[in-house]
Amino acid sequence: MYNYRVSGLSVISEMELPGAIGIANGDAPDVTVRFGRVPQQLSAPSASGPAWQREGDTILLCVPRLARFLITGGKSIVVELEDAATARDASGFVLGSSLGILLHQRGALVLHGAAVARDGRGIVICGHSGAGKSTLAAALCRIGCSFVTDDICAVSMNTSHEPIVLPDGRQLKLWEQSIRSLELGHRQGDAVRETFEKYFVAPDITVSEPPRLSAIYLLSESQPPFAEGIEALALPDAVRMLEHEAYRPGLRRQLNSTSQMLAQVAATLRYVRVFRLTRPLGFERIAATVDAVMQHWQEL
Amino acid sequence: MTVTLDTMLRRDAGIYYAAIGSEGVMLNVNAGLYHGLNDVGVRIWELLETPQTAAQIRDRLVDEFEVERQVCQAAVLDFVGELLERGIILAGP
Repeated sequence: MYNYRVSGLSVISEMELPGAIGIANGDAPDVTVRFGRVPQQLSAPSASGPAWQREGDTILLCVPRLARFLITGGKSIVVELEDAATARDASGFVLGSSLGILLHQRGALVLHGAAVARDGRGIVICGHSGAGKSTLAAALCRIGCSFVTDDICAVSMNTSHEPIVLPDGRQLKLWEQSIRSLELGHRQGDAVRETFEKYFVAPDITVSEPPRLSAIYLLSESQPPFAEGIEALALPDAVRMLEHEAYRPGLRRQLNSTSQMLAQVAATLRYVRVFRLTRPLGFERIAATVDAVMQHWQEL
Repeated sequence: MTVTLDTMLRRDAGIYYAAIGSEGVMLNVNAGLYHGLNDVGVRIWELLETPQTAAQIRDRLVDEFEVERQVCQAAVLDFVGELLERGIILAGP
């Protein structure tokens, strides 16, 4: 058995989860991951999407030619591998989609984004796949920020009801081109999946305490109508954006009611503002973007 | 429809609302639209938890805010007219 802490949850797993950071054997795990029989279909699904079905508090996730995952009650993930697949291939989907769904089941606000922290304050960087979230997070870590989470960003509340970002206990995932441009080659680890050219990079510093969330930046490319710069979103736009940037928003709508979602987002926006960060895509200008973000963040 | 001071107004059940600081955000799920409210808008939305007329809303606001009755009345009629147009509130008993 393996023990990990991921997104604030203690996980006990029959499957090794490469990229997750191990912890000592805990007493009562929040989440169990085990191998077992997983049906091809649920008997009476109330909703379904291209790769998933829902019945009550259970989600069945099917990744063709790889594995099926049964995620139940925010507590349990059961994995059945397809014939040719390896546990290593499937592990990415345990730490990715399965855990994202499980966090939704637990009622957390789960954003699709990367987060970094400095002096106990954190920022989340959102944007569509390929927008450069991980790259900007890695560049911020190069100048002394600590890494909090990549990809799945769970926001929870501390005892004073302030939003905090839960470290996913994982390593940063970066595309090969980003690794070369940031000169992180010496820290490049194993390929995330053999077919993908995205690698785990061990961050310089990871956080142990969840930082307070101080701002959320939505990455956008500087093309008309957006000029370069950082601008605050009006409240309704910020709410809409946070709903849109949820991890797998279609599935989330199945798992959390509209009023739950709005309550989560509102609780976050009482303390946190959302900004649109518009900058040119590409690595030439990353230093300028990093400077702009650091200055903006420090002045908040 | 035109709103008059005596038009009975009530919330549409398809509207979700959350307060954020002194402001508020409404989600109209039918239209998929988000709307923001300032502090006075928030107060009007709160008052509409109980169906009431524009005149009743005006009277409450005149009590609670420093505003002239005529100015308040015009603003309330404007505002509830807009809420009606956007399907956020309904008119009639």
